[in-house]
Amino acid sequence: MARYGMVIDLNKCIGCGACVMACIAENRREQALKAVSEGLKALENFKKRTYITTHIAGTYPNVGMYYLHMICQHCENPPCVSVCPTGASYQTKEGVVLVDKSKCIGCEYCVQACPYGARFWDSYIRSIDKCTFCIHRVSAGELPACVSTCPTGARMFGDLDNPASEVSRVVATGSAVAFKKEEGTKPKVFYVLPMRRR
Amino acid sequence: PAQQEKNLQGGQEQYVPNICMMCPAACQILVRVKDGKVEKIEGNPKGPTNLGKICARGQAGVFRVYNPDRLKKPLVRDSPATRGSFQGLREASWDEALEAVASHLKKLISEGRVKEVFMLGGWPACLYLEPYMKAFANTIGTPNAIGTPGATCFFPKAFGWSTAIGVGAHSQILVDYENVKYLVVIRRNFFGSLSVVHGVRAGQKLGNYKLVVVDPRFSETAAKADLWIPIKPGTDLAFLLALINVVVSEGLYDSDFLRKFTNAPMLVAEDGSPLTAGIEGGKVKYLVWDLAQSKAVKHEEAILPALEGEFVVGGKKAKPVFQLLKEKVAQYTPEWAEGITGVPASLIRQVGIEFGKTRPAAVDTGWHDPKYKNSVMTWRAAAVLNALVGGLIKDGVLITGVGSIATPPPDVSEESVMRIWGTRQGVAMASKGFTYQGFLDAIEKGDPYKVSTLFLFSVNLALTAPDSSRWREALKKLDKVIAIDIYPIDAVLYADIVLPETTYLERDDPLYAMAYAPVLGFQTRVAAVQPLFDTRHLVDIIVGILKKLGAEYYEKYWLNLAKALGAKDPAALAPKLREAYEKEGVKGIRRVQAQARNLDVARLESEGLIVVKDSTALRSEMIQRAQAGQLLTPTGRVEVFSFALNAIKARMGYQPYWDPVVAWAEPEVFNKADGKQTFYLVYGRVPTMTHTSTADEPFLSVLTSDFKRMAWINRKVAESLGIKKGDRIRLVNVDTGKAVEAVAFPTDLVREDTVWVSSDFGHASEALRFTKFGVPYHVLTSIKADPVAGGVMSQEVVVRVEKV
Repeated sequence: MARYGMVIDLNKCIGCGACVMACIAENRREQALKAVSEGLKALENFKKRTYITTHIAGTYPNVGMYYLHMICQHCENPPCVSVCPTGASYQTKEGVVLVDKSKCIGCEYCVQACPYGARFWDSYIRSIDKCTFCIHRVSAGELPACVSTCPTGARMFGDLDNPASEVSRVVATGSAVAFKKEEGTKPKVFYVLPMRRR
Repeated sequence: PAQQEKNLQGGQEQYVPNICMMCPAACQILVRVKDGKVEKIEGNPKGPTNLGKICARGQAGVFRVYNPDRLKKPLVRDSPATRGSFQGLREASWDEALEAVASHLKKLISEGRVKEVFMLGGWPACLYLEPYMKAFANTIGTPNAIGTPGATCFFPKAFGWSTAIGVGAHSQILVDYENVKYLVVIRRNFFGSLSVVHGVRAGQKLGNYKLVVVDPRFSETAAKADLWIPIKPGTDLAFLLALINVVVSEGLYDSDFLRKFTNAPMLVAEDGSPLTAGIEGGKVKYLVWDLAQSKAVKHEEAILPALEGEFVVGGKKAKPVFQLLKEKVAQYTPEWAEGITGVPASLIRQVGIEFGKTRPAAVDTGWHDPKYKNSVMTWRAAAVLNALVGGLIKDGVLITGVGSIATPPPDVSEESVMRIWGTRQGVAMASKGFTYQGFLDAIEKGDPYKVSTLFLFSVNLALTAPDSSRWREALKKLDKVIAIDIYPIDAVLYADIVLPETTYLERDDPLYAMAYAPVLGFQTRVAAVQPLFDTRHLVDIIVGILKKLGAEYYEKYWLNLAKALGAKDPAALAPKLREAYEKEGVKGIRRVQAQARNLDVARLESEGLIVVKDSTALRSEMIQRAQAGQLLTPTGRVEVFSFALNAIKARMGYQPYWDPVVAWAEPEVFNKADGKQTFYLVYGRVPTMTHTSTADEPFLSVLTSDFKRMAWINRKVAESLGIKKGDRIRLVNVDTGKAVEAVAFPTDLVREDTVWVSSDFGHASEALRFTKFGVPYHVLTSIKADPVAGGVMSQEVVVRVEKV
């Protein structure tokens, strides 16, 4: 059984937004088309399963610009699953955290419980929505949409239990870290933190 | 074709090959289609341009097809008084719209006024559909057509490079990002702008090379750099000259490369004329001093050509080009450059030494640059610096597939407004016809003659032409404006007849050479879905007009098209093109083109591309060509002494802007801004946008961070002016008084004497629902032309900043 994980190398990220757009096109296309028909305001409020924020540091001329990526961490110990009153939030055998929208009542406990802000209420499908690691693609032998399109290879995906996988190799070097370890969530998304290379 | 159309209606998911058209870089894509709808776009894993990757714009292509703002039917304006607004345009049938165009053209032709027609193309016409448009112009008989906006886009940069290696457009040369170890980037932002072809290669190799970014503002590329050098705007040339000085004075150059690949050993007499020995095989033969034989011989015959010294040949004193270069750049010390660029001499020296000691090293090839009066010389200096360390063709900077099959660009008609205007402005390369700035005088004053009828091929003149507000007024003065586009952009609002094009995912296209990639290959578009609306392919639109003009014009078009496509025997190809088109439409043209190149049509249409020479084969062929003296330059070698520039010197007298070797040449804005009240204006791109053409893409519009739509002003300076983030400010061109309003973004990411804005915004069309705020950059530029290439000098602008 694979244990899927992701590594995001923030040194390689150029902040181009390809991952964000690929995710919308792959996973939320119908909602997106609906938002397009509603106009600019709906687009401004359109929720994303993954997004990038830009951070500027330093004073001229010693400055840096960094990008941080929000995405579901597919925790091994997911608080969103334990708080769900209906069992709509669940974890697959491969450890992917998903939402069964037929069971979701929109109580948003999980939104509150997630330390990463990775979940949101999607009014178009009337359910909580979140990243699925593109499990429909992965089951078909493809990479998640965001990983497959990333021009610089900043996002990597694979089986953390397979020591030969790219993600395992990067995690094994110790250069990739999990966010908010203190929450005890055991995330399966790891970040290579940005360094100003000189 | 019938089979395919049937399949597209079926419920099965399938992938259809296409070429991304969200930007000109033309990445190869696969379009996932189901139930006749576009579901998703993926990079084509076989695509050598983008290596299976696509950017946010490429991913957003799905939403272009379904964008409700698209032009869906032909539109006709009954009253010219309503120009400038979308109001006044009414829906019409294709028959009515094409008839209206044809009857207007018939009138002009019968009155002998067809020269009054002019055609301008934006980047969608550039490189791909230009031959189809030029053949149209030739068929009706007007000399006034530009498919490629050379003066606004690439020509000064391309010409600078081509003076050294014969080619230089961004489609023709490419840094070997896979192997480069030291990369200096000037006037370029490959991680924040157009091209996945560069970004994907440079990005995947980040960490394998030292990246030095020279830019007045901290760009997306600077964010990834090992070293950011915030240089004074317009002075990159001085920086490069100082690097040349360091490489030469420290002896870090590659003398073997200079001897074998370049004309650095060529002897030049004291009066500045090269010692030549006639022309063989179309190439100028020149003399070098052979140290082995102690005499002057043709380069090919020399055993050890001298790079330095002074020799007497036929009673005349002569020196090798390298000696002249060495003497010339002795003055361009890092200390000298510090005074001009504001970059510390010690840092310039450090970069020069690192650059000279690291192999392969390269100065990035750039993409767009008509920015300054010295743009041509800046890129020439970049090429010469690359040549010094052996970083041209054999490594560092490579020639692409398109570059490998390039021919010298032909001159345009002497009758054309572009050429007449450019010549009068003293533009040395006016004959190439890129100076479309001249049409403004032709509209306003009938100088050199009146133009009355404009065809706009996806070009947003109302936003992207220099002095754009003047263009808006000028457009109202024309008798007839015909716009071909997919969106009701600002320029379309000035049209009387609007002919809507199908988007790239809805159409089959002709055959194109694969641009930008380090391979020689061909590619095409296969329609993924049927057109959603009553739109047509550009070629169908042109043919539709010509059919209405009459059989004679229709016939002539195929001959002109065969010529424009570069056929060896146009008379033989023309009927084939016509018959194939009549049978199968644009697909038929593609098949004839593919057959003429012996390409497997079935494979082309199923995979979308065919690679003829891979990168290894292409590179070794280019190396052989360079060594054999068969490059596109007059001498066939890398020209450290440029024959093209020397010819300009002979014709127009000496100016540093066309020094045959290299020289410091000032930009117009040099030392004109004080950094307190007045600022150098520089512009750039954002990764989610392609010029002004993507601002109405629903998702790209909101994915673009607002701070990238604002005017960046140095934080300290903003404080001293009392300007806070989000304040409305006015940027006023100190020379013309023209002003735009902008939202201020005080930041540490820009020099104190510089204001940065993105030039991708500023749309005012009421028919575009997804655009957001931004600066209409070209209100602030004016009609100018650099003296060599005729570039628009788009950064020769100093602004005053005022609080609104």
